[in-house]
Amino acid sequence: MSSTSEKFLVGIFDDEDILLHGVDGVRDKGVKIHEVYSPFPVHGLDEALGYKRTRLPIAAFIFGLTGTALALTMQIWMLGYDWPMIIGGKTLLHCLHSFRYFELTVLLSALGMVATFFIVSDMKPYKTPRSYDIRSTDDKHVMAIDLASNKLSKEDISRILKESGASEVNEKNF
Amino acid sequence: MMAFTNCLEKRKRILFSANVDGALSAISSSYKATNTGFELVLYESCGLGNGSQANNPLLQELPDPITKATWDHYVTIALKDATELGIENDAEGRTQLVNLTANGKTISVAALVQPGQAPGTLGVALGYGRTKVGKVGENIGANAYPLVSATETMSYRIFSGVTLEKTDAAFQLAQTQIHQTYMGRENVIQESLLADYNKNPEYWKESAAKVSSWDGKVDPSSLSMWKGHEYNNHHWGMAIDLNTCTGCGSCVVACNVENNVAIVGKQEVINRREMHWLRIDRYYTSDAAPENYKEAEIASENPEVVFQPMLCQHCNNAPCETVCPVAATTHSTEGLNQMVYNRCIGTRYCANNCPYKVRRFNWFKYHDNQQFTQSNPSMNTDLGRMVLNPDVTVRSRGVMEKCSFCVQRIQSGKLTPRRTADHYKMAK
Amino acid sequence: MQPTSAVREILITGGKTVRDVSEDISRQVEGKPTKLWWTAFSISLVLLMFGVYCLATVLWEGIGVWGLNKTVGWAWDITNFVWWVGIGHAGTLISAILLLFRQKWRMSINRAAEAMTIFAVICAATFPLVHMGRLWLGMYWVLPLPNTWGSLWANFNSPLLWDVFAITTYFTVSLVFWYIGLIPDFAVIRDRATRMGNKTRATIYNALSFGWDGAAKTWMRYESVALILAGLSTPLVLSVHTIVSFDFATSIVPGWHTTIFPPYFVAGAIFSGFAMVLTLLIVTRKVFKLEDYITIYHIELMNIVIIITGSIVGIAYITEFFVAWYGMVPAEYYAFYNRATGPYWWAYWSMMTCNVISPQLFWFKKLRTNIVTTFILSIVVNIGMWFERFVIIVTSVHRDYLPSSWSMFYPTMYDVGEYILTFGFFFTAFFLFAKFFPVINMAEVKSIIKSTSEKKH
Repeated sequence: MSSTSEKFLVGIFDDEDILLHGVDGVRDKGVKIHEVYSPFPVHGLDEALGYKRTRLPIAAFIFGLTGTALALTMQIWMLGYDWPMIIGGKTLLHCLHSFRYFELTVLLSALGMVATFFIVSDMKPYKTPRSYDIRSTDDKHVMAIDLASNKLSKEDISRILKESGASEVNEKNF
Repeated sequence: MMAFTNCLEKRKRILFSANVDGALSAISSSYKATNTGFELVLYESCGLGNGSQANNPLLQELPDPITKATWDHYVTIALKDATELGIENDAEGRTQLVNLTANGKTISVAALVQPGQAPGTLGVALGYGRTKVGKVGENIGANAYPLVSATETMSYRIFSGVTLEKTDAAFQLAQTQIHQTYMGRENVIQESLLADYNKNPEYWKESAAKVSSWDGKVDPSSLSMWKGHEYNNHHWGMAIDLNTCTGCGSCVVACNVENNVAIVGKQEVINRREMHWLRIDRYYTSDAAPENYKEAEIASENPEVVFQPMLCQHCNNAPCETVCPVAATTHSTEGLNQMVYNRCIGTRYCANNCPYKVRRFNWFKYHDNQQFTQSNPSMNTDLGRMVLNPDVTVRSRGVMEKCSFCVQRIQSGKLTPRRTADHYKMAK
Repeated sequence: MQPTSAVREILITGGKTVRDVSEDISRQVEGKPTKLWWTAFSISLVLLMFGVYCLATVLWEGIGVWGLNKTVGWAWDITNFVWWVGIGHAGTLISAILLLFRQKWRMSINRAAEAMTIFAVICAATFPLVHMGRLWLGMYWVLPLPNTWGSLWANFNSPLLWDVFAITTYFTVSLVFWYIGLIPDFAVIRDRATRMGNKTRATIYNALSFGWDGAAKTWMRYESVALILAGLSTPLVLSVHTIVSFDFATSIVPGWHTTIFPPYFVAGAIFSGFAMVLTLLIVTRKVFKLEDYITIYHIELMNIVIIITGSIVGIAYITEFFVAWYGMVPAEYYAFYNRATGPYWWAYWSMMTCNVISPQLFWFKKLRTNIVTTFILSIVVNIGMWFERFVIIVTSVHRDYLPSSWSMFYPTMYDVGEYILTFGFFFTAFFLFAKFFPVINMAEVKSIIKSTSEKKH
């Protein structure tokens, strides 16, 4: 499809435990894994693949702080300075207003984090993802290996994949 | 509860301190013992009078000082007689029509059980049942004039030949107050005898409930979470002499006229939605102790009556203000609790939170709704609108309204001298 | 063959494989709807239409077509609002709090429960909107927006304003949480559609799935997002009903002005929410043949939550009475006396029977593992919870400080109509959801199938 052809070897794994061993096996042999696609989250897979922890919680925290600050400034400025009113004999600014700080904190934190997640994972409604094997959303774990970024030959990688537990090995070009 | 019992004792003393014997002899001298049936009194009601004003919706919707009934014609009857005749008139104004015959004429009116009415007597208002009077007052009730005996002299008291017959036709009275007693709540009605007052004018202050604090028992008003606000300019208030108030309701009419208060008609009064900004609460006493809640709801057979004009109290720390989400009701710097109609979105939270229940909601578009043309012509016809006060907004549907302490008059009172002073200066 | 743990309870029966999960759940999205579905959907739609007619009348004529009056300013409207918000709570509780507690049994039910939350919150939100006298202005005046007459902002003291913020935040976060959960499952349906050669469906579900590919990196981020959303939703779900309870607790109406309200409302919310989840799931599992995924064990666990929260609510009712008696405030003393023995005694005792006595039946294992009793009691509980809100709102305000204003409330057709409107919407939306969206979270169930599924013989 694309003008610059990319060649991938695709190993299919039937079971998450075999997959986890397989990932270790393949990486031990010096094969660089492009990515693994699973129908459900496999615990320990990110560590096996050597991924660093995601920094999304930090994003969530920063967005949350923004929400708190926004609510606080809004409140103090609007009620304390811009248009003070005598309401029920209460003082203009008091701690009972604080519910909204919490709500805005949560709102901005959640929305900001999810937006960040979509952006860093490049997810959008009109995007069509690459499908290395269509069964990867059903019941198969799919390990994609980019031949261009590996020094080993196609046959060697294919053998390594089989040895590590892949039930089939296919070739996929984009 | 001790304080209450004291109060009750005092009330009993009032009852029995009157010159009963004198009154009794006065009555017995004019009373004819030949009376067999009921004794009927035809009276001019406080609102309609002789009926010449029967087409005036302000008067039709003015609650009777005692029965609190509006738009209705009824015969008042003692509880004892009503029970004997099988008439059931519950607290919510559900009753039956009765056929009242006097002097050979029969009229059909609703029965209203009136606490304090002497057994054997009936009361019927004149001025109702007019047939050619105008849109508003047509065919309300029955014409009681034919009952007037004209044989000897014109007499509005008929002592013989009066019979009352219960029918099965149900009737719903439109009363603005459907709870008779004040439930023995001494913070609602605070009364004492002049003699007791002279002895200790501070009695109510002293007996008022106290709140425990770090410094012992204190007055509840002395405790607050808030520092409050200073009112450095005017601080408006209204004083009503409760000793003088007879509950006539003239102030209610005046308030309606001044503030373009909508007249809502009989059905809406039955729905408990009358719009009066100012009302006169009428409470009866009950024989039961205040702790006996069920019994305390029922008025004594011969109760004392107390009137209490009720309007927006313009509370300094007003509970209605706090709860409005859009700040449509706030305090002015002159201590007025002001209602901003065009900001109001009508959540009705303020009315729920008002301890005096003086806030009134515009359930419908009273000033432009065919449903109300009959009861409210002053807002629904072109001619009628000419009587509206141009200084006061006509409220739209879906907003809350309430007593403003006639803020338009306050403003005018402040501005007129200023303007005159300016003229004076200029003339100089 | 599936390995089974001897220690863990079996959550998925029928010896399902990962493959079977995709098949079983996607089937009803792909197939034509059954006659039963069409019937149920049509009935809901008719209810919705009737409700829309009533709503139109309220908007055209004014709030006066309801039975409210000068004394009772809120009745069915706010009762229904609180009732629906309460029902919504179960979804968030199941998906967020049970996720934090690592309760795996949530996985079969969280999708439907969250959908229920979303629809219930929409139903709830209609009432504060419709109950306003001037909805067309109130819709945006409650937000702190500058306006052309100068900057008159909203009143930050008002619990109603807190509500606005709480409900919108709750709705938004719940929606996002629900949608995040749906993304991988939409991808499943997309890929199945591609394989079946159904291009339209593949395109639609691809758009819905945001181009999900299931990469390990994305899964890692996804799990982190889900965990944090759960962490954010947990205090949120507790705060929402707390703030709803402030609508009453911060007022001065005797019977409303009670500090016990926040925990009592939250417990009641979870109580009614779980009951509603049960009502819906017992039907759903039957109609879509999901008995292997939503098992008796799931139902039993939910019934246990109902006993616990029901008992908390019962204790709260008794505590209220104790405090009213102990506090010696005459108006409050009377408010509670009036609640139990006044003109609305029947509402109070319906509430007590449905909410306090009936859930105690679940102490018997036989009853809590029986589908029929569970179904009946789940409806009884929600009837009771409706009465609870009615009792709190109407019986408190109809007789407060000044006896001169005491009055009764009688509902009209339009009061009932608004309630029917939300029922119509709720079930219409739920049936559409059940038809077009996977009703069980496939990805999550797949991840536990190995450890908690029944062994295939």
